[in-house]
Amino acid sequence: MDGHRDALKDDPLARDIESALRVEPSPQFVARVRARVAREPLGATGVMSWPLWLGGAAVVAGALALVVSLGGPRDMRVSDSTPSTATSPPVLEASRGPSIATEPVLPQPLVAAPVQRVTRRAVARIGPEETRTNDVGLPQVLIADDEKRGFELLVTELRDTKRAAAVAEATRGLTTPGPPWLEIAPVIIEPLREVGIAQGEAQ
Amino acid sequence: MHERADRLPAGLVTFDDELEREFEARLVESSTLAFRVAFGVLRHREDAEDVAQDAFAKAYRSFHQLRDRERFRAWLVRMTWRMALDRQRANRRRASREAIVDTDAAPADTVDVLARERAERLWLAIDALPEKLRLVVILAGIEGHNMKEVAALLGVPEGTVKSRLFVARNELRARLSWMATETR
Repeated sequence: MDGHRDALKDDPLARDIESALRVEPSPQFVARVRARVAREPLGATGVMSWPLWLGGAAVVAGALALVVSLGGPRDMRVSDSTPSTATSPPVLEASRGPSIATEPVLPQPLVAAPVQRVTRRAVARIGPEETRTNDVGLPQVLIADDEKRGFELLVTELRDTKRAAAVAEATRGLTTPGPPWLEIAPVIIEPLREVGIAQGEAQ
Repeated sequence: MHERADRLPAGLVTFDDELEREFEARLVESSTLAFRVAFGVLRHREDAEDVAQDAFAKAYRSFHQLRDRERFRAWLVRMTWRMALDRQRANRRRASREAIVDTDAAPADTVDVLARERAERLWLAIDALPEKLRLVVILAGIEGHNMKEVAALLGVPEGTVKSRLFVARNELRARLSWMATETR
């Protein structure tokens, strides 16, 4: 205690102030404060959770980076690892008749599979089962349904060797006569004369 | 509080427990200080306890943000002081409303009327001080604080505390002597 403090104690005014402030809280005061504090949200939450916040922020940043990398301009590259059988066109499924249902083989060029954007990176990260595809909205079927159906029948029958042999036998002697009324005279092209010189001389 | 801590991972619980132990220690050592600061403004025991409780609750919520834990008492004093002033303003507004209805409440206490009047005059004089001087007077009158401790609590140089206390006491004396002559 310094000398000034002792001097203050000697001051009657200071003594009056001290005695006026010498008031004790009730004995239950600290217990009530403890109870009140216990009802408060945990003050340490912020401190405790800062590693959690940091981890969460890292996870969110990683997810954002992944989304940005997948949605960036590299997605425009079409990978050669496009799974052609991953999506079969629904039109083809609906048009298959019962006779060819057991042989669902169809040449690929007939029906254009939905154009898929497959990023190699995405395939590598996600795995072979979860190939990420993006439909760009191009038409799926490039030929008419009846033509396709006919071609399917043809393909199916050609695979049947007996029928193929029969078809070959039947078509062997066939000729294709042209229309009798159409006669085309042979076109004779004469060599050009020196018209330009003659015209120049006339002028 | 502890139920929530139980659900947390072990490392975090340890950290949390440390923080809570530290707060408990601060609560024990500073509870009377907070109460007296609030009482110095409000002069009402229950109100002062309420305000001190609120201040501790607020301090608890923000305890993790306090970098320098040694500054806890100063931090608590400032919070309590502000909250007590807010409560005082609210009480005055309420009292002014109630005074219209209940004008002759609080009958005079016959026990030690002179001492009560003297204390009343002292508090009136203290209330009339500017805020900075009032806080210095109250902190210097609490728990035998010396200049250095008051300076630490207020975060101001010791010389500032000395000069403020000097001015405050002179004003108090002047007001008290004026009140004494008025009552004669």
